[in-house]
Amino acid sequence: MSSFKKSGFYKMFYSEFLTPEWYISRSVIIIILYLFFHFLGLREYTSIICGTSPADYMSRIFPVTMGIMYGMTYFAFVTLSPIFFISAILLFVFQKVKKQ
Amino acid sequence: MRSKLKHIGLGLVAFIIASAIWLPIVHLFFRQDSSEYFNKKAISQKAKKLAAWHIQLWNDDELRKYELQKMRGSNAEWDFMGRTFLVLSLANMALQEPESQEQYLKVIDQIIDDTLLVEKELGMYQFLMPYAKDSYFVQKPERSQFIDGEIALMIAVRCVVDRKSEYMNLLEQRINVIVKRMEKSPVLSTESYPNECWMFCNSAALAAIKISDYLSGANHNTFINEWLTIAKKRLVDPDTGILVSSYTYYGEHLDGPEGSSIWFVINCLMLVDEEFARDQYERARKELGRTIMGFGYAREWPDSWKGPIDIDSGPIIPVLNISAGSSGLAFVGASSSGDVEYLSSLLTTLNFAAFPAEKDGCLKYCASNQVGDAVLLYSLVLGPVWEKVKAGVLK
Repeated sequence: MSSFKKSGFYKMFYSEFLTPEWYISRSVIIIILYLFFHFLGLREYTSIICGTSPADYMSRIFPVTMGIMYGMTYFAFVTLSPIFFISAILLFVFQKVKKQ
Repeated sequence: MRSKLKHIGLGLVAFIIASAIWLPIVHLFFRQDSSEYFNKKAISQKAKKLAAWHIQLWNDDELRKYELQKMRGSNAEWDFMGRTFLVLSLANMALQEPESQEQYLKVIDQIIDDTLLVEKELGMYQFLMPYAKDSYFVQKPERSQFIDGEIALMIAVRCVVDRKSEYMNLLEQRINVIVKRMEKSPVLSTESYPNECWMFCNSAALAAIKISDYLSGANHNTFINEWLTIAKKRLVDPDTGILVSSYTYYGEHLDGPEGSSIWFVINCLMLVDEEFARDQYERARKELGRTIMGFGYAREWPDSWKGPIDIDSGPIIPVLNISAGSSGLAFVGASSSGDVEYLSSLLTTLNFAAFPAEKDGCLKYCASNQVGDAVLLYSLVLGPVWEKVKAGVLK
């Protein structure tokens, strides 16, 4: 645990709000979450978008929750994560320019 | 405090600039060459993979029951419409690819026979939503144009590929019933649900009548022309000029123009009055079709009409009013009208938000279901059946 606290990612995660490190860490978390849900096979649950449960024996709550979780992380992965990454680069450039 | 505010402001500015850079180019990562999907000369690979999934369903009883049951849990109509769109697709594919005709016809016949059996043993209510039993049909004996029109259409397109005498007789009987019932109505349309005539179903019936004429040599042109005259005069929304989606037996408007209805209506009208169909497409494209940052989608209603979120519209994403049902059927409207630009933007959205999944040479869209995928398949292969019928009529 202590070695994790010393790690670069831990420091990045707890870095100041809206800094390049903050943006990068959030971008990485989104990617990890998306890949985790993807490899769990939650993509199948997105059939709730068209009002169909992915399995006829399941209650509605479980597939709806899974479908929403997958959908949200997917859309964050393709839109928010790259924006966070570009924001980090821009801030880094701003800071460099400011220092010069 | 001031430096902190400055720091947050700078962070937000970076976020806004990054959004302005990324969002307009996201679509480029999901854009695919439309020829991978649409090919006038041969069936595209994507269409073949999509069809393979459906053929697998109809070759595996357990898998089919499982898939259909999932849809029936939400809407029994989807089970029926999934059959219609698959038959329409396979008939077009059979004409496009004669060497695979036998394989496609086998599945088509299986679907038609099974549908007729269900209709005979369990009745029309098996494919209707429960509210069909809540009141009485105006026209007696009770029948649903939803069932009659689409069954006739399925049999008709099957016979365009290859005439089967058994089906030709069934088609003639069904068309006679449809025409007699439609002729009795003040607006030449008959009910799909009690005192509800649907443009979707009556257009499908018209297409079936037209194809039946081509096959049998009968001539219902006077009836079809009368229907068109009445529809243009009484069944058009005054604000948009788009055909309304549902109306009473006597022609009073119920629901206004709906995306989930008009896109398929356009496809059917292409067979009976191409000029009117193209006019309807232009209006629907203007009122319902949208493209934002390279992503195409369709709304369920125009600005001038406020309708409910229902089983036809599917879930609606607020603000942009994106309707899953209307967007899916927009493929059919755009493909029928040859609107490559809109089709291309719809495909981009499909790849972005419908979650495609390929396995063992089969393609399906996880965010869709059997009927949704069948509608998409139809939009990818439509053309040959309509062209053959039109060419035959011209002769």
